[in-house]
Amino acid sequence: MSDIPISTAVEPESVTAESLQNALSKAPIRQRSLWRDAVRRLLRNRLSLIGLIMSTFFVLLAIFGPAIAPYPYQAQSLLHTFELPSSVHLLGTDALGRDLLSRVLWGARTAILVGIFVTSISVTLGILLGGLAAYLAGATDWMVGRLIDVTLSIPSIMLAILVNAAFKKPFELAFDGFYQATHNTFFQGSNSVSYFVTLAAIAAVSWPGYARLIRGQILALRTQEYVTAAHAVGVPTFRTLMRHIVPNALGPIIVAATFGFSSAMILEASLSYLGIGIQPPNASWGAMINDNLSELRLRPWLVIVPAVMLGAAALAVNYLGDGMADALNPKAKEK
Amino acid sequence: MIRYIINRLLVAVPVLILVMVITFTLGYYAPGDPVVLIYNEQIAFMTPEQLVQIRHSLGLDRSYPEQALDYVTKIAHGDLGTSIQTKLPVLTMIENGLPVTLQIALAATVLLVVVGIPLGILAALRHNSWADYLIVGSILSLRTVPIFVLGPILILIFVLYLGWLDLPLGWDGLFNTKVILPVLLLAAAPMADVVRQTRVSVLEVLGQDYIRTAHAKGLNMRMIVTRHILRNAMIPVVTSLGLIVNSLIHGSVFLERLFTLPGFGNLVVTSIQVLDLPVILGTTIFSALIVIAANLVTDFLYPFIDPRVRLE
Amino acid sequence: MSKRILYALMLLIAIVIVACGAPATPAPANTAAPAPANTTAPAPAATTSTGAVTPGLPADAATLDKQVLKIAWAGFGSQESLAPWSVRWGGQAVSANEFMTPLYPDVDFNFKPLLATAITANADKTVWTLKVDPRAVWSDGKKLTAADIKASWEWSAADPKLVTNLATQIGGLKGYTDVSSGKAKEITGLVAKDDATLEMTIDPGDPFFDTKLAHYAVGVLPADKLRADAQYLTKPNPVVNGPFQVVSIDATGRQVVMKQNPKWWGAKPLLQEIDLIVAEEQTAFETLMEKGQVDFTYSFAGAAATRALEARAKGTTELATKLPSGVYSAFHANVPPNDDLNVRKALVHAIDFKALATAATEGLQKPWLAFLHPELKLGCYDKDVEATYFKFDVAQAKQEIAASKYGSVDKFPKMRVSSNSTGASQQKAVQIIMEMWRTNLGITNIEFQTQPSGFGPDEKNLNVDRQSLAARPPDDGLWITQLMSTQIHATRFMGGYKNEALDKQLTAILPMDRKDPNLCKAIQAAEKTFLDDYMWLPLWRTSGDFGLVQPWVKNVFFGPYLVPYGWFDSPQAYITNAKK
Repeated sequence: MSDIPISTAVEPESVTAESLQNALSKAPIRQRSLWRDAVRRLLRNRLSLIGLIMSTFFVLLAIFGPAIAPYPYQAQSLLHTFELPSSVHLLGTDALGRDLLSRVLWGARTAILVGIFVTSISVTLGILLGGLAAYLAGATDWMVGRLIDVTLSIPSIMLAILVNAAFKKPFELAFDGFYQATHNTFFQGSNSVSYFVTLAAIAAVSWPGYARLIRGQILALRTQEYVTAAHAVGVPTFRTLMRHIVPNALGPIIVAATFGFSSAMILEASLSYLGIGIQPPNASWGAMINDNLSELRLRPWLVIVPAVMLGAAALAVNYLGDGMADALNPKAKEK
Repeated sequence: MIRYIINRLLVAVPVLILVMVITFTLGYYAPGDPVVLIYNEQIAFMTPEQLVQIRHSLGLDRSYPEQALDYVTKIAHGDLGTSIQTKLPVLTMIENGLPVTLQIALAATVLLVVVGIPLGILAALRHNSWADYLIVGSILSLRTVPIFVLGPILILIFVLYLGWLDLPLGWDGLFNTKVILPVLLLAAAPMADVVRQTRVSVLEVLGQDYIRTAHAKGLNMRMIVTRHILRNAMIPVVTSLGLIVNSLIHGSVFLERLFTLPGFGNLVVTSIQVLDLPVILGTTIFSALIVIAANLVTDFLYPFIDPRVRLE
Repeated sequence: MSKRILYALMLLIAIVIVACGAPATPAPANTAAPAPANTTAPAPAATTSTGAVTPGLPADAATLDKQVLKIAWAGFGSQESLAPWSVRWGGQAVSANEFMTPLYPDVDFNFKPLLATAITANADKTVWTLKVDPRAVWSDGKKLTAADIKASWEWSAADPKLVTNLATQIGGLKGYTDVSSGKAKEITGLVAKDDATLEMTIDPGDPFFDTKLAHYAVGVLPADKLRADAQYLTKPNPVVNGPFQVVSIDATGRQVVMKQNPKWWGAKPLLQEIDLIVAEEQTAFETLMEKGQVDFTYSFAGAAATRALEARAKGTTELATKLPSGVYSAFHANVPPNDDLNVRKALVHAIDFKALATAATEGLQKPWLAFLHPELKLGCYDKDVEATYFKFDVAQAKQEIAASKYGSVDKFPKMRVSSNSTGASQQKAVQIIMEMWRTNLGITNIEFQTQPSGFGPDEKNLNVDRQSLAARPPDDGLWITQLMSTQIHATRFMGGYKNEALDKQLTAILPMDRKDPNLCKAIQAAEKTFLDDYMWLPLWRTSGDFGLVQPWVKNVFFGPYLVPYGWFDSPQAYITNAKK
């Protein structure tokens, strides 16, 4: 899923078609095969290959997991609490007799949903605002800069908590309105609301990191010869931005986005741990960890399984991102 | 240079004011009626007229802009309000808690610089080798475990199974074995950021022509590392100082609860749990102040480290 | 160029040093009293433990320097104040040792004199006379007088955050509500006749008033100090009248060291020091006990109790109060959809209370299927109540839904439920109820919050929340009147629930002679009147709260008030030489 921003940002053909850049670039030959090169390097890096395979696995899990889950995520069996893994419950049951495997599978959907939703929104916002700020400079830069500063300077956990609290009521009212209008049960009750409020809160705190990164990258890159040259020969600002700066700044953004992806999942877990994220009985790995944390000493698997899933998913995306960062960095040392 | 510094300071002021306004606004729309929170069970004995009068005396019947302006003005005079729960001034509570958190956070920062940067450089120099995989892999795994899971697990391992130390609960000063576990835990999450950013930027530097030239000239690796790579490795760490501080504050929110530390993070988590709005807003603004200060430090250091950035 | 880096690095280091140094100099308050015993160093046993035994010490007692009792308490958040009436978790142990009550209950509910040598009443139990112990002094050497007690209660009552605890005990005093509502400064029902005599007038008469003066909430405080400084009690070295005194306390009140009050006028305890720490996280809490780092822990029943039972096999002793208590939920009156009696009936009948109690408490607590306990003193428990009111019958529940004014659950407005607790068992109980309502009745539009305040402005639309109940002494009549007769429960907890017929029955029960043959009938009739409203969802009944002591601690036990009174009720409480 992480290769979406790459393919939409710049296409290989358009890079090669830009003769001006080839002329000015220091390594025109490698530049031409940048993407093919990148894929080759990505696959050669063992960690990123593992990351790629695991990420695919988690996405498949998020899509098909709930369908293959043996029980509904909220179904309790009060006579079968804290059961050890058996053929009936492959991973055992929790304090309320809920099937751990089913909840883990449903939790995958929550985690991936949070990751994709938050990352795509915040990366888009970040590239847009950060790019404009750095390139247009002046008043735009000042205003975007202040907005970034404000959002970045409030620690994300605290801002997320406040946004979460402030958004809850308006979202509830809106959902109630949708329900009255459509009578679609999706809009009924607090389940969907808690998802959307949490997603919005995390997205609201995640975007400025990207914006700031883009801005910083551009500040450093625009003193590079090829950009100055492009500017000198009269290439329009926006085109320079999209053709030269963004592709060059893409490496760090992908690093940040993969970090952001896992951060979003972990932030969701943290909010759920504080009791203000995804609300029970919804299955989220963070909430599952929170529910069972007091059992760590006696029944560690109840915590370890969701924690390992959370860790593995975050790790997979991180590995993939690290590999991509290396692969996409044309200046990286060839070994 | 002086002008640059003054410029940066001047920029910080509107940011701080905006932080206050945004924080206040979010708090304004957050649930929890201050009157209910303050008077609690006594409300059952109050007449509607009394309630109206209380709202008036607390200034809650004024319009939103009036209240927001009042809030910002009061903060400018050093008044963050009074906690509903403890009835202490919020500023006093922060003053009580902050030194504890600051000392642990600084110890964690030192650990980040001393351990994180060398690990990042090492991983880059041994790019795509098992050392690289081991460093990146283990550091990332550490980061992907939330601190509230890692903490109890480390407690079980070090205190109960290995028996190396007593469970460190409470605060007896920084120079005490009690802080080892909290500092390690606090450094765990930002460690991944530091290592990874260092690694990426060193890799980038290694691909630069002048490094190849240096190599070709026969300069030994140690010289190259100290001359060229180390400086470049500092850039991402310095630029992400604000993010590191952010991460440290995030960590302390969970950490201090785990180890019964009377710090800033504990204040945050307590106020959230009882919806003590003045404290929630006060701690939010104060932590923003800390991050803004960290960002200023970044701004001042940046031109020294990366000469490509021009001072305006 | 390299000089630039050097400068930058120096600047960075300078900032770190300045930042490090700044907070270090105005050191936090706790460094003022670096109690050596706090450093958990297990003093070298070889040199002293077999040494000369101080005369008067039990044979197996450790030496005086080891008589430090370390307590861990499960809880969260900051201590607001260490005043006895507003204490949370460990604060009870602190205030119960600093500020004495007129009487105190021993572990078997016998009330014994403490500050008062005697408390007597007139015939209709409206005027009570308290005689102050002539030995009682404050730690600053001043004599403790009847006027001190009056001043203390007046100060406590005027606290703007009126807490149920205090009002439940002395709320019946004439003029109390005037003070608590801020209309008056003086409780007219309290008159200090002389230094040693306090006359207390209550309305209406209450045969149990003296036992209420044994609750930690009425501990006598230094009112003049508190008037000067509201935060007085959270600072070290307050003026006290009990055996121990706080000498060191952190800013959040979660790490406390207490030492003996040198002016203590009662029997001298063996313990020299009490260290108290709060652990908020379950694993940390359990580790303390398992590692032997603390001598005594207090927790709520639930997962910790399971662990405790297992720990008992390793030599740790389990403590439980003998006070019968119960945990229940209740509907809030007049909140839709439970404003309809048929809906309430259906919601009650759709719950399998037995399975709920077993699953939520991991089988540690007994199901509760009536209002009265079989363990209460008078034995008025009626076992027929169970089948009548708390039968698990989904078919009947569905009929009741159909008979209600809503007709079907699709017409229900959104419901809100709260565990009113972060305790694991309590949260599980509410989640189980939600799931039973979902599977048995199809109710899906329902939100759960651990704290009612989590609903924000919608807190007023809360449908169900949870409370617990205990009566001292465990008397059926007190038990049934305590839930409903106090104005606080009636107006706040059950959302303004009122039943005039019930109120009449309860008013008649309280002053009835305990040997009256009609007493049990009256109590059972009131129970039925209450249950007929189907406002009540019993969760489980407990045999009290839960604590653990290490095998090397002697004579520490739970008092009936959640408070570990052991170490001053029996001055023999001590640490034995078995402690490593």
